[in-house]
Amino acid sequence: MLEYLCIILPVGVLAVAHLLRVRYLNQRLEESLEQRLEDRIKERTRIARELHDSLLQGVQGMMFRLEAVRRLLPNRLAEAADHLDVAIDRGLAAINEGRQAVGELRVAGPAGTDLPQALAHLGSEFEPEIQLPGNDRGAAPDFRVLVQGRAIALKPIVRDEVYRIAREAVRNSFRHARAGLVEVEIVFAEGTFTVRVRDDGVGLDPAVLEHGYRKGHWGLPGMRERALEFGGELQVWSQRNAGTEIELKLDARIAYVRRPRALRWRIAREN
Amino acid sequence: MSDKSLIRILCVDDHPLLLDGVAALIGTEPDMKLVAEATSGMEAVRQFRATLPDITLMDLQMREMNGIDAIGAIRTEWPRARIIVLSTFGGDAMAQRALKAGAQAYLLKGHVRGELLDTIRVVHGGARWVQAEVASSIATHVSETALTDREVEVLGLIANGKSNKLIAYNLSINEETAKTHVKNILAKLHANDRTHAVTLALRRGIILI
Repeated sequence: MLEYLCIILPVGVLAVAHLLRVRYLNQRLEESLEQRLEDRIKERTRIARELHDSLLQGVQGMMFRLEAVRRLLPNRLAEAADHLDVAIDRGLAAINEGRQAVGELRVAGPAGTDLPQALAHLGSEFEPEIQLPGNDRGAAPDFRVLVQGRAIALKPIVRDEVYRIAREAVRNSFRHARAGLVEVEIVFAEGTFTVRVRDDGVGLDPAVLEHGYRKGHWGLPGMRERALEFGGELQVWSQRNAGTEIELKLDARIAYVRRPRALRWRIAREN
Repeated sequence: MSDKSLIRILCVDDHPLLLDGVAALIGTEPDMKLVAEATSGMEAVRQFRATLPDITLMDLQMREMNGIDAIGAIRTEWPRARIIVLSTFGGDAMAQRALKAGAQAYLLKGHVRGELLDTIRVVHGGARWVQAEVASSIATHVSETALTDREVEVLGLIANGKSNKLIAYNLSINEETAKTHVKNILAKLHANDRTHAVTLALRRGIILI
């Protein structure tokens, strides 16, 4: 009898362990499928919002102005010509905004590459933008990416979102800060994952810092909103002529891929 | 023409290029004058109070108080205010909500060739006006069961990528209840799945992006 027990008991325990593991993996799979569907919906909503905010509104505004031109013709030629000049400028501005929104979509995430490497490319990406109309033209700042700690694998969705937020921050520094140096610092720590983007530029306008944002950009409130959406926290420090620093902080549980060790531990506990 | 006979207009839209275009168009008309602009619902109420315009042109989707709420706020304080909605959204649900909130007219930004100025004069004369396209979309859906406020809320959360679990958490209900809401929403909208439901809801203006 005792010998039977000696055989049956371990086999039984193993069988139960196996069943629990299968159930657990199934549940994980289901969760990840659901998550992917939800991410897709969210992404579609965001694209719709961006197109609506930039391209669509700009073009519709221009159509009203063109209609004004139509009503001025043929009697008030000089006024009509003035309106046409403005319409052309506005059209170009709308194209510029739309182009940026579309560019934003194309860089949905640094798929396949690691975050520090993807961020390191931003310098060469934004350098030409400094000369675009509407930006504070000047010499391109130096750009560097610092990594602290040994890299820990980030969840893909987190990596993409962090990339987008950091990218917007770097772009703002390039375009508006008139900085000599723009720096990204990535800190892989046990309990938290942190990314800081800082520049030594002119600093933010206090009004912008508080609530304002430029049209067609998601700016600070947008960044903060996005950070909050996936469980992060965004802090901004800025002082006139002393530069700006933006810090994005994430709890390790949100940021990092859960390690297989945790899975084994959990099954061991469940038995 | 004396200042008294001018139609005084407040234009509310959160996009500067749109405001700019409307201002240019109104500027061509000798019987109209743009007296103020606002870029949010809050500012619209403030500007209305400051200028008491004859006609308000109102966008719907804005930060800091959307257009529907702004129409409600203005009409509560000034029941005789005359408001024309100028929207990107042609959906029946949004148009109905705007009209119910007290707007006299509903125009689509994309289909206003020649119509905006006429509508301003017509509404100033005391009439109501709904674009044919919007009217037919209202008529199409008039016999269907409308979504409840709670269901609209749930749809908004789905559009923001929330799972049933998160929807339940956000609304402080249990997950089963959230699932039931989702099921009812899909049935009422004749949608195949969540993505489809969001697409339909955006098209009909049941939710704003």
